[in-house]
Amino acid sequence: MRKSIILKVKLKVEGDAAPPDDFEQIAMQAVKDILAAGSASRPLLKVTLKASGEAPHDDDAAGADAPASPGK
Amino acid sequence: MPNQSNQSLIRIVIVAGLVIVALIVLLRFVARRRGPEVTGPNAPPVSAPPTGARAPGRVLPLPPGPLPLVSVKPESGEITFDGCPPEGDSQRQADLNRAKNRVDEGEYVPVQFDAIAGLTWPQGIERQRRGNWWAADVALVERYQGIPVAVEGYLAGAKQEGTESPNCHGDDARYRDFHIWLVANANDDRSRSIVVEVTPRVRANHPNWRTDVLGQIVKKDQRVRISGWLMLDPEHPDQIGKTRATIWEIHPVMQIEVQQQGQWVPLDKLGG
Repeated sequence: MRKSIILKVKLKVEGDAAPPDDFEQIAMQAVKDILAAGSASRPLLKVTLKASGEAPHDDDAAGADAPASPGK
Repeated sequence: MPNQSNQSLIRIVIVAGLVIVALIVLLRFVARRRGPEVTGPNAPPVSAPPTGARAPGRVLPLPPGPLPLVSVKPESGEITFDGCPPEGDSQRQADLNRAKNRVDEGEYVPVQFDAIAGLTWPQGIERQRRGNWWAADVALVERYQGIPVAVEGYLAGAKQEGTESPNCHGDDARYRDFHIWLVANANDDRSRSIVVEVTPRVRANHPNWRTDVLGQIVKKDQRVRISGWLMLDPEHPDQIGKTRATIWEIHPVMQIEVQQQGQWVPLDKLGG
């Protein structure tokens, strides 16, 4: 049976770069390279990167550093 | 006789010309001394001269009113901060990051909370890079973006943000923004808030601007006055009615004051 699935994956990429270097581009290229390099280990699966980009901040999260006062 | 008459006429013209020039110079001098004029939204636009990147800012001694119209806004003062340029590490977001990363002080116009919370924006700009905006939408946003404002209210919370392109994705805490939620009334929640943001390059000059200090202000329901630059952030329209009332922000925050015994005290001068 042929199957397919769209996965939503959240990745964190860390490393050193000069301050002005575009780290979003660096990180996205790294993910593409890692996927390409690792595809040989799973020859029966075809993994395609459909979309990538910096995740927006989670503004819904409560202010952990300064929690809202009661009733807020 | 005709020659003498002509010479007298020439003298009169020269003297009159000198008087006119002197009057123009005097009027320009007086206009500069007076500083920016503040007008309502329906008044003719005026100029707001820059105070300069190093000049101290001040809140104009006026009661909070509607948003002023400012025809010529101060050029933003920019610095490279720990190697991170004003545009951050993203050319794609360079315009937005430059606006977020300005460091110059201004003459802040006191405005009513609702003047910002109720300010509209063109829907076509939501989640769009400025380069993709229609010219008419740019003009609508530019009418208010970059106005130096001061708004009174209460804090509903303060939080250190994650890594971001304006701060070159620096991982250390000193390279992170603070999100602060400003509300009109002490018991309002964040759905009615204006987000005001403290940036690392401004915070570097304010050691008392810490999330634990801001947390105490939240808990005590102390009235605050936030001064800074009005800016539209098109990235978070999905949060309207949840964690914010508007995508207009005060960003960056340049001054935080706390009301004590009827006086505005800079947060830097409070114990913490």
